[in-house]
Amino acid sequence: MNYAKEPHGVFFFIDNKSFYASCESVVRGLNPLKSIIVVMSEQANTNGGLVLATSPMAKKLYHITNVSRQRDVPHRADILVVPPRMNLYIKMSLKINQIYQEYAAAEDILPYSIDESLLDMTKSWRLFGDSPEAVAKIIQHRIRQEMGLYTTVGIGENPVQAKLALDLYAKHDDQLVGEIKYETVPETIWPITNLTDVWSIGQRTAKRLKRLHINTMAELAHSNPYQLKAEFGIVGYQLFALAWGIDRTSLAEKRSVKEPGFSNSQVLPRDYSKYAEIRVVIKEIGEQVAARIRAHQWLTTKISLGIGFSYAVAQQGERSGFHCTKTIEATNNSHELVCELLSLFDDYWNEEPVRNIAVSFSGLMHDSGEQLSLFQPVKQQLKQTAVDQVVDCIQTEFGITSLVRASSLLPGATMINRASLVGGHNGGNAYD
Amino acid sequence: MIKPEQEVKILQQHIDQTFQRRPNTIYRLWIVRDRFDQSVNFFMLIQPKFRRPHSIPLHMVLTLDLDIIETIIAQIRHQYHLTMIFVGFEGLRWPTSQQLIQSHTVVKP
Repeated sequence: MNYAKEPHGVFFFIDNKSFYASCESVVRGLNPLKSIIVVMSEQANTNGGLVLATSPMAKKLYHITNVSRQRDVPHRADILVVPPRMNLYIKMSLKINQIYQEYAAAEDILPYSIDESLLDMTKSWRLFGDSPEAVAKIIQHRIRQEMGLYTTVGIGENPVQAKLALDLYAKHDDQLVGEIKYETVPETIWPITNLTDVWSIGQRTAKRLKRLHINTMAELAHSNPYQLKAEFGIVGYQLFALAWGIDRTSLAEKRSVKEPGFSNSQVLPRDYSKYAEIRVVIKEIGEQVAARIRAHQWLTTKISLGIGFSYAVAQQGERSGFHCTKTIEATNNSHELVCELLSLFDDYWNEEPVRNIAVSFSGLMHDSGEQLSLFQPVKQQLKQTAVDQVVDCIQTEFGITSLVRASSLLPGATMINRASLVGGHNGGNAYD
Repeated sequence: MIKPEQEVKILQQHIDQTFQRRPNTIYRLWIVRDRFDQSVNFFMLIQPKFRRPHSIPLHMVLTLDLDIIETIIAQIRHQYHLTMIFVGFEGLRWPTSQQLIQSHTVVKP
């Protein structure tokens, strides 16, 4: 492979080791690598407790993995269970990204997740050290000194090399640094035999590759790209490029979202079988998403409702849920949108117990004026708009629970309980 | 400006919520001098017999000023008589009594 025309930059993919558990260790004065901490969400929908994160020591000594259940965690006095505080983790993540901005320009930094960021250091690394590895160590040291956290750094000549270096090598390296270059691709990427270890290859993709007799990264690199394209479409070419460590992404290049939309979803605290209870939650989620599109001054023309059935039903039944979409007249009126969602639900639901509900609004148009309908009294339409505006104002000013529908006090309603959650977990404001 | 009375009030509220005085359960206050965040963090360590200990965050006092911390801790100690574990105060002394705050290293941060 001739790499001469490929971009040769310096990219760092930096990950915070066991981020949530490390944050909790640091605020307790404990060493993140030595403490045995389990961050456990004990919300009603977690069936007694769900492990969100574990410290490296908890993983090593007791094999507790993320998303384990409360029952899988041994009852030992040396395992410290702590509740999650999403706001603390967001605050720490922002602080870390601020430190990164001292090493690369803001447009050269891509926060990939709450605990991972990609830095394009091509233009700036020479300002800080003699080699990319030395600069990586300086950043690691800085974060350790200022925040008490340990970071792992993957270094590559493009983003995908940096990501693979992070996942495959840095996390297992004593210095917590890994590096992949174009010339080291054959010895670093190709020996991988477990394809799901590689970023972007999941169980299903691995299975499909196996059908093509591709079981290792070396076989993927030496496969026929046209055959991959025929099997996977454009992703086939991407997989081929991945095996050769090729990625032409430019972080500074802004990409527009193909079809923007707003959505909210939730896992219910138990299986819901009663028609009225499910409708209350759909109404609550629908109103939340409607408020969000109004806040961003959009109208929606496409609404979607996703319903996931209970685990037991999904196991035995033909379908695990349903997802339906409907094109409607452009609106952001809560009442209209909720009516449409409920009518979709009535059309598709056959009395199965429900565990997940998702609502999304897409096909967005700018809210530049109100289109009145000829089939409804004008006064009524204006009144509905005014009601939404007043509710939005009160909720923005005084919080979402300052004004709720009486139905949110009915059994099954979740809005009031979920108001303080961040990303479905405890925000932690109650402790401040 | 940190007002000790306000901080004590918040701490009292949160301690009252978590200190449920269940039988066969040890309750301790875990107090951390957090040099990274320039704060003193309070946690309730709840350890039921034969079960995993839980560490519940109570409050963060956003200062390292020992005069303020001493005032807050004196009031909390007086009201609850809970065992207090100090972390991160190595070598530091209470301003009034000049006693060592942390008599031994609990953990090495």
